[in-house]
Amino acid sequence: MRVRLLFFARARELAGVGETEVEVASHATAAVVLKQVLETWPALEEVSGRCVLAVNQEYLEDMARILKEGDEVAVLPPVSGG
Amino acid sequence: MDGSQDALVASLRAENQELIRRLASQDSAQQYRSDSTVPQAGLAWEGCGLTGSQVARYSRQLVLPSFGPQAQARLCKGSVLVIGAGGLGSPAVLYLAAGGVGRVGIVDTDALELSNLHRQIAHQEVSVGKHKAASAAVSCRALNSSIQVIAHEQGLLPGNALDLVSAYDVVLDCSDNAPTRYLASDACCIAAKPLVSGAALGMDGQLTTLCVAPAGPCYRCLYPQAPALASCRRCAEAGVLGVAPGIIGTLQALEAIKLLTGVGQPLTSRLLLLDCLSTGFRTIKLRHRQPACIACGPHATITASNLASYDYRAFTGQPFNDAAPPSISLIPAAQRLSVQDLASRMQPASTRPSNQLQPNQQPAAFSRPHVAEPEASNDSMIPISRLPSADFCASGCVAAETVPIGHQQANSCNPLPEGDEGQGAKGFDSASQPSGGVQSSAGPLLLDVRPKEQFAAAHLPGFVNVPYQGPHKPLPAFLLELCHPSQSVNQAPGVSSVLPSLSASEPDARIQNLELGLSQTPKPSDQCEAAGEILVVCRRGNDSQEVVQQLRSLGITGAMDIIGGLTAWSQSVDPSFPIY
Ligand SMILES: [Zn+2]
Repeated sequence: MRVRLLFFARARELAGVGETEVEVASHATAAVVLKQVLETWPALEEVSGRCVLAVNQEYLEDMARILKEGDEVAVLPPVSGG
Repeated sequence: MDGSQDALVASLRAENQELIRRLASQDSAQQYRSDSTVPQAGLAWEGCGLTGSQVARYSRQLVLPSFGPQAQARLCKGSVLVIGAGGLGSPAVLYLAAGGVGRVGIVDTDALELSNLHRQIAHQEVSVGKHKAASAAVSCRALNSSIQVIAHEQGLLPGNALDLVSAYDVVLDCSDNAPTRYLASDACCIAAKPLVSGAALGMDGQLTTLCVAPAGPCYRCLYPQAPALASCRRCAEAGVLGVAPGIIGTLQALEAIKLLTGVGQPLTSRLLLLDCLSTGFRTIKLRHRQPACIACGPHATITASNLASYDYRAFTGQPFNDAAPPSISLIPAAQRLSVQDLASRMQPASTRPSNQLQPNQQPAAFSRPHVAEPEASNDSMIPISRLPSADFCASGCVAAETVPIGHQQANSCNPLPEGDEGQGAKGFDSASQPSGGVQSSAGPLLLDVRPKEQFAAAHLPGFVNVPYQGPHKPLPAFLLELCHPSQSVNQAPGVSSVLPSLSASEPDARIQNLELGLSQTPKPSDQCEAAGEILVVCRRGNDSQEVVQQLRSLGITGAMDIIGGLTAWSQSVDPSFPIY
């Protein structure tokens, strides 16, 4: 199945892309998808564990959550500038 | 007119503007500050506690059905602490003052810089060099003399944060650094004050309202782990479009007004994202307060009694400001040259006494660049006369040739727009060489490793732009092509075949092939000689050391760092080169 990825701010810089889609195993958990994201864009390691993660515009509480086809996963690192 | 007269006129003009401003603000104070129109019991009129002048001043929002005089009265009795008088704080304090918030506190310890003014609109040119808190307070008072405006010039520190936030009803985080963001949040948790957290960088903005009882999360609930240093990009490095913090700061004022008056729903447990490129807003539903949070949870370990001693620098690895990173000393002194050395090296070969420079030698006079004959042979330097006659090249300069790093990766992190990648390399391979930097084997190769935007804004003649993108990014393809002239010539731009050879096992062979002339026909006999010197400059002299270290690790032993970069150049050689 395919899920949509949204990278914001520093994550977009590190991934070199703001929006993309990835093919993941059916019934993959959020943890599995994020592991795959880190393998595809290793530079994102910098923000790993230091981001708000959201699925379909809601905070991702449970990394064991099973994603569905077309789900939108957002990686939102904090911005500190002002 | 000589320089001292110029300075005197400028100083008198600034003083005059300041006096005109003060006069205007005093006039308005006398005209509008009067509270003599307070309704007296049993006399002509009654209201909801607003004075006559308040009713007149705020009439457009108190006739608003969804706002009304009661909300205005709460605003006039309310107080807001604004942490940071920069790009976010500027519109925030102006709208809060204009809207009639009774007491506005402005916290900032920085002095105003010219480069702040494109976004920090609460300040004026005359205030450059002055405290931002005081400068923003002057603007607020000029806008509304009937409210109280307090400048807190000492900044927000662990020792004063609790007292400061406790003295206000609502707090706005308009700061520019991670330690202040955590400190503001912790203090607001302890003092139970709502915190409107705004941030902006580049084309991005974020906004959320934190610490709203009973369930609203705090900053640590969202980001228990501090961001990595590299993630905390500063406006000075990453850039920021002026209106991005302007929009977010304005929304922070809106949030404060809603929190003070009870009108509408604050942005609690929601994160608003602004994308200036698409002019798009997106809202993410956040989680609630975390029971395990060390700041706002039931077993919080950050408390009123220990907040002052919490080490925010250690926690975030960053100082309480967004000052430029300190100078590093990464490579041995023998691999570094001063800007004076650079000036000497940049002298035309014909006037250069020898390759070894004397310590007391005069630096090259860039106001009078060497004018080479247009018919110069292949062995001479690219004629500097093709360059603009200015001391340095500004935007639009013909020499602004950029050779992007990492163009061998189609999906690389290179922020260049699509289609741009590889063009610089193509330029190198083509007969029309970049007009800067390409010299014969007699002269050093001059590399400027700043981002291409900074290079395009101002650079020294003769330098080639090879943007450095950090230690973990692929090494500059352009430099690798230097090691493989025979391969790269006539090769399509964006070649990936060059990269794998980087980590291959025969560096010496490649160095033998090092050809600095970059002519279309490699001249093997010159190659070792040509490997002589590669001078690397950046903005402040940190990145250039990393590049030199990388080049030397490849065996390019002629790579030299320019100490202090173009900032030092401006300070010691040519003050007309802009420091930014
Ligand atoms: Zn918390």
